[in-house]
This record gives sequence, structure tokens and C-alpha cells, in this order.
Amino acid sequence: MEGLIYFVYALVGILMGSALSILPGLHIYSLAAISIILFVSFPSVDPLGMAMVFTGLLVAFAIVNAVTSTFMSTPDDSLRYSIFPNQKYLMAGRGYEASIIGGMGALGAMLILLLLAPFASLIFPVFRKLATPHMPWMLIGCVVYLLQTEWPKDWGSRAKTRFGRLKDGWASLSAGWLVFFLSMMMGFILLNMPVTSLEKSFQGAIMPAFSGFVAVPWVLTNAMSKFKVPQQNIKNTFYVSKKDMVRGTTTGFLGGMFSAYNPMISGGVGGLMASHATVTGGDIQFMVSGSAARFTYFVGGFFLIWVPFLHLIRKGLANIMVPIFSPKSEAEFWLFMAVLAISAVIAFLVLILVSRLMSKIIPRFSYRKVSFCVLAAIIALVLYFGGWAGLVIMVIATGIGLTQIMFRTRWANIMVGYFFPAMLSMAGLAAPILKILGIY
Amino acid sequence: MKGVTHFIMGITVLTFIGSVMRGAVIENSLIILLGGIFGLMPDTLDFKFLVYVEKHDVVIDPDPSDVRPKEIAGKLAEAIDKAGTLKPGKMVKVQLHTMKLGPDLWQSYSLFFNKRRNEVIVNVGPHVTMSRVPSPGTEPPPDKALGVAKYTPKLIDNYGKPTPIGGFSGPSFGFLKKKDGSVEVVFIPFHRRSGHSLTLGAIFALIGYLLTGNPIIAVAIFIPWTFHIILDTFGHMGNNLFWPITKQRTAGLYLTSANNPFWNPFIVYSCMALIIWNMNRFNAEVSPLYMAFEPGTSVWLYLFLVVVIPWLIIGAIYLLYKSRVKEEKPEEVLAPMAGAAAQMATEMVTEERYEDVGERPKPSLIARILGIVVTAIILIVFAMYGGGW
Repeated sequence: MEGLIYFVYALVGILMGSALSILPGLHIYSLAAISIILFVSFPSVDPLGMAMVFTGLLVAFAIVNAVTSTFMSTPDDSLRYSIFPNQKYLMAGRGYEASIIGGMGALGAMLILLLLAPFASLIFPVFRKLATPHMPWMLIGCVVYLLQTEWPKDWGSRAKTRFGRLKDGWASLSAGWLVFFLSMMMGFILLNMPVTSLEKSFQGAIMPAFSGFVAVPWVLTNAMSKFKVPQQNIKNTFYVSKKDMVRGTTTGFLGGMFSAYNPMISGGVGGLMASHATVTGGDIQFMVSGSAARFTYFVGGFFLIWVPFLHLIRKGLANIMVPIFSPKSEAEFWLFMAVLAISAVIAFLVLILVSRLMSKIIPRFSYRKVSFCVLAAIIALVLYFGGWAGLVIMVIATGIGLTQIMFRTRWANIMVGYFFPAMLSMAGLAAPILKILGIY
Repeated sequence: MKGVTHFIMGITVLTFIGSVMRGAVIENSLIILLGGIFGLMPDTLDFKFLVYVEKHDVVIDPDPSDVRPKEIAGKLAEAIDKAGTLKPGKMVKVQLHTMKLGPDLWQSYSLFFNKRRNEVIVNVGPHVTMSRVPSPGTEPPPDKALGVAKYTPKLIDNYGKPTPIGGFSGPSFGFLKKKDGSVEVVFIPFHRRSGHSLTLGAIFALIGYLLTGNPIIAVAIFIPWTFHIILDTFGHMGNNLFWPITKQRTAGLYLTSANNPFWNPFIVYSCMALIIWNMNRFNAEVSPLYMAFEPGTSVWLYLFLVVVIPWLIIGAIYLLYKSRVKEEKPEEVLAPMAGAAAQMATEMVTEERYEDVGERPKPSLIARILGIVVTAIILIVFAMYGGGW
């Protein structure tokens, strides 16, 4: 009976996480900041209880935040991998369906995580031992792969000359490399120079950058596109084949876990690589695997710190939790797994309710007005966390994000570009570039 | 094979080489990444460079507001006839463009070479998305859906199926005059020629060596490049191994297809297992802290436990699923193609598809088995001696 109190803590986290997830443009890093505020505000709370609040918060964000991405089109970086089919569904009056299909992918990933849990303390320490000395080339290899596998998007150049065709084909490719380069330069500066006050340096620099890279460009393009959300159809039953579910979930889980385990690789990047490896195709598989990858990336990263004999600190929330609470026993791990599973089911139910609500509300509003409101909310959040310096960072990052959209380049170039300096640091190659930039 | 399969295969073969792995562990050397880069390079060259420098004799760019299938079929038949008049070894190249209607909407059409009747058949289909999901009710009326044109020479078409043209960019075809007077259909003629030759791989390796003076660089370029060609040879299309000495690409071994959803994950998984094996082997030389199992463990036992058993289980589940579950049709945003267009497409395709199977120049069973054996031998040699290189 004593353990039940931890489920109550998790429930508090789920409710808070669900409420925050509906705020468009809220990034996971903002959620991490809120977690710190929570802990500081309630110092007398049992640390394990606070860890359970974090668990509920994270699970709710990983599942419910898909609503804003489907209905308000402000996806965070890990959702960009699956947003296009979601938007197509929204335009076809099937936003609710898209939202639930995504939720099912996340639940599927949760199931795989549960199945993996008994073996986690055997498998992950092996990977950790073997991969640690190879981390630099593995991470840089992911970047190289992403840059090399972006294909031209000229849709068949009509230019008469060979040079003309080559120029057309390379327009999007060179823009992709430019986006990578600019994002990398921003990473070099923001990850190595204090541009905001010290106490806000983490949220104040990274959160505005990511809002600018991802959320603001999408809101701006939505506002400009005069897009009107059609009437949404809420169906109680819809058909998703077992094949799509199994392939989508497995692919998403593999990609998400790859990103969760490896530092600086986002869920979208891992999901993209896994979808290439498993030859995933079709909108449904894409949506299922996207949500599964996102869930596994966020939750799987947090899961690793709980695994007995591993204690691997990966991703933002685990880093924040460590000073407060550090899991030590197998009993804590299984308590965490139980809380995780129940939280995922509750978050899925919340997703159903919120998606129904959104399906009714969103078509009644002007999408342009909603977009401007979203933009205002993002600016307010950035100003709160990053001040004016944060706003400047956001504007610069928005320029990079808009370049990516205009030239239809791969969004992952921004993500990997931003963290590439940290990867170069791991390989001992960052110092010369920092010297040239005058930072080192 | 998919890009990721080639990329990881390139890295995998380099993990067998002792100096590369020791460099990666001790000095954070990135030479190993040359394996991924040059494992994928043949496709990078083909689809980012050679596709643009290909010269086309005929360009077919249909108007989506007024698609004329008969005209398209006529131009293709004319190109085949023209190829029939050329000297053996010469080719007429035709580029077909797609018809973009919106951000994710294309007017679809397909073309098929009916060899029995010496006809090019062009079918105009519905509007489709990039993932080829058709939009119901957008099929053209029957009188505008079909175009047929006659050609004269005997045609050899190894593909034997209609080629659908929807999203992305359209394909090109080469019509190659053969010595016996027939004309062979060469799908995307720029692909798997110079960019997929051992000679170009050797040239890159030589450049790498001359620039760095390090023979390992040459190995790190040439071996992954060669493995790309080996993997592609397992498919249908084959390669042109000794360009420019040999002019045309040979047929593949027909063991798998490039987008196979079983073989791609299987190879990626197997490669990862081998990388882990090699990590353990070379980490052990640096520190036992980075070692997960005894370096003396038999590689065969390891592969049996880590690769064979899991894939036997996956295969059994897959077969069980196939035997119990009937074909499921996912309900995508837009419904599947229906009505007269679907019926026409199905009827015209199935009859001819089976007829053509016998004509495909599939290599003999011995050649196909030999392909796998040669690959296995190369990998075993790497496993046995690579550590000392």
C-alpha cells in the first residue's frame, strides 16, 4: 500500500505534463526547467516521489504533446520526423485519427520497453563497455550518413544543359549543407560562450535556439499559408493493420533507443536511420514509428538511469534528476517501470480526450489567428527563459529554420549541426575551430 | 540495397582491420568513417552527379492539364524504332518527367512494353501522393486513360512489369541495339555503370593514397566500395565492373531486391553484430574495462547466438503471421485506386508479367550460390587476417 503514493505522485506529473503539453511551442528543455522550479518549490517532498512526478511529466509530454503538433503544427525537433503525414490527415479531416495512431505507436513502444526491462541490466552494460571508446566516430558517423544520404529535390530538372540540371539538383543539397554549417556555427557559439546570464544559461540559450529552429518557422509558414483547418471527423473505430503497427513500432523503438542511448542524437535522427534500415513506408507506418521513436527517445533516455548496474545519465531530465535523486536498487527500477506503464496508459487516455476537444475547437478558429497566438506564446516563453538575448538567438535560429523549409532540405541537418561541435570536442577536433572563432 | 545498408557494410568491413580499429580506440581516428562514406559513394555519384550529366535523345514532359498517353507511347515507340536502326552497342536515351500538381500530389502514369504484341502501352492513372497513395475519383475517362503505339524491332525487357511514374523525378530509359538486331530496354541507364565499377573504386583509392601516403586510406576506400558492388550484385540490376573496358552492366544474381524489407534489416543487424564482435576484439587490446566477453570466444558460436537464433525466431513469426493473416489493406488518407483504371491496370499487367518471367536472363543457380560463397570467403579472410593489417 505504501508504494501507491508513488502512483499518486506520477499522476500529479501526468496532469501537469498534459496541461503543459497543450501549450504550443513548449520544448522538452522548457519542461526540464519547470521540473527544477518544481523541486525548488517543494524541498520537503520525498526525492523518490519527485522522481515519480518527473516520470509522469515526461510520459505525458512524450504522448500528449503530439496533439499540438497535429492540430497546431508546432512540432518539436523529434516530431519533425513524422509531422507531414499528421498534417495531411488534419487536412483530410482526420486529425483525431492521426493523433490516436501516434498514441498507439507510443503505447507500442512502451510495451517493447516493458519486455526489454528484465534484460536491460544484461544488455545495456555490454553496449556501454564496448561503445564507450568508439563514441566519437559513431556519433560523427551518424552526421556523415545524414549529410551523404540527402537526395536532390528538383523533381526532375527541366534545364536544357547538363550544368543547368546539376545546378537545379544541387540547389536543395547545397542549402542543406548551408543549414548544417550555420547551425554548427551557432552550436559552436552557444555551447561555448555564455550569451545569457549564468543561472539561465542552459534554458536561456538552448530553448530559444530550438524554438527558432523548429517552432517559429512552422508557425510563420502556417500563418502565411492561409490554411483553414477543415471540419474534423471523430471516429470511434479506425483500421490500422497489424503489419503497420508492428513494423512502425519496432522501427520507432529501435530508432528511439539508438537516440536515447547515444548523446546528441535526437529521436528524429534515430527514427530516420531506423526507417531506412527497416525499409518503412506509407503514412501509417511513418506516424506510428515517428511517435514510437519520440516516446522511446524521451522515456528511454530517462529509463537508462534506472537500469540496475548501468546508471547511465542520458538526456536532459536525467541530468536534472541526479542531484535530487539517484536510483540505486532493483526495487526502485521495477517501481519505476510500473509507474511508467500506468502513466503511459493514463497519458494515452488524456490524449484521446484532448484530441477530441481539439478536433471540435480548432476548425472554429482562424488558423492564422491561432498561429499568431502560438507565436506570441513562444516569444513570451523565450523572453521569460532567455530575456532579450534569448530573443535575438531565436530570431537568428528562425532564419536558419526558414532556410531549411524554403529549400525543402532535411530538418535533421539543423539538429546534428547544432550538436556537431560537441561531437568534434569528443574527438578532440573542436579546438582549432574554436581558435579561429576566437572563443578558445 | 538501401543507403544505410551500404554505409554500415562499409564500416563493418573496416572494423576487421586492426590498425583502423586500434586508431579509433586509442587516437579517436576517424579513418573508419571512410568505410561508410565510400560504402555509399557509388550511389552518391550516380544519383547526385551522373544522373544530371546523362544526355537524353528524347525528353517526354507531359502536360498535367492535358495528358496525351498516345503521344507518350508514340514517342517511346519511335525511340525504340530509332534504336533498331543504330549500330550494335549504341543507345537511344529517353527521359520521362513526372507531373507535379501540388505540394504532395502528382498525376500518375505508367508505361509497359508488351513484347508479344510489339506495343508500348501508357496508362494514365489517378492523382497520387509521394508515397503513391491514389486519390479516388481523379482517374481520367477511359478514352484518355490509355495510349498504345507499335514498334518494330524485337525488344528485350528484363524488368517485364509496368513502370509506374508518380512522385519525385521520372525515370530514364535507354534502348540499346544488340548484335543480333534486337533492342534491349535499359532502365535508368546512368545507374550502376562507371559509378559502380571496380576501376573507379581503384582510382579513388589511388588518389587517397597519393594524397595521404597512407596505404590504409587506400584500403579504407577500395574495400567498402567493392562491398557496395558485391551487395548490389545480389540484386537484379548488376554492375559494370570494369568500366571503361566493359561498356554495359551485367545482370545481377537475382537473390534479393534493393528495397527488400527483410534483407536490408537482416544485413544491417548482422553488420552491427560483427561491429560489436570486432569492438570487443580490439578493445581487449586496450583495456579489459572495455571488453564485454572473452576475446577467445568462437565467432561462429557468437554469430549463431546473436544473429542466427534471433533471425530464425523473426522468420518463424513472420511465416506464422503470413499463414494466419490474410492480406491487410491499410486505410491511408486517400483510398486505393478503384474502378476502370484499377481493373485495366491489373488485367494488363498480370497476363504479361508471368509471360515475361521465363525470358529474364537469371544467372544459373551455381553462379548465384557462388556469389554468396565468394562474399563469405572475403569476410572470413578479413576476420582471420584483418587484425594484423
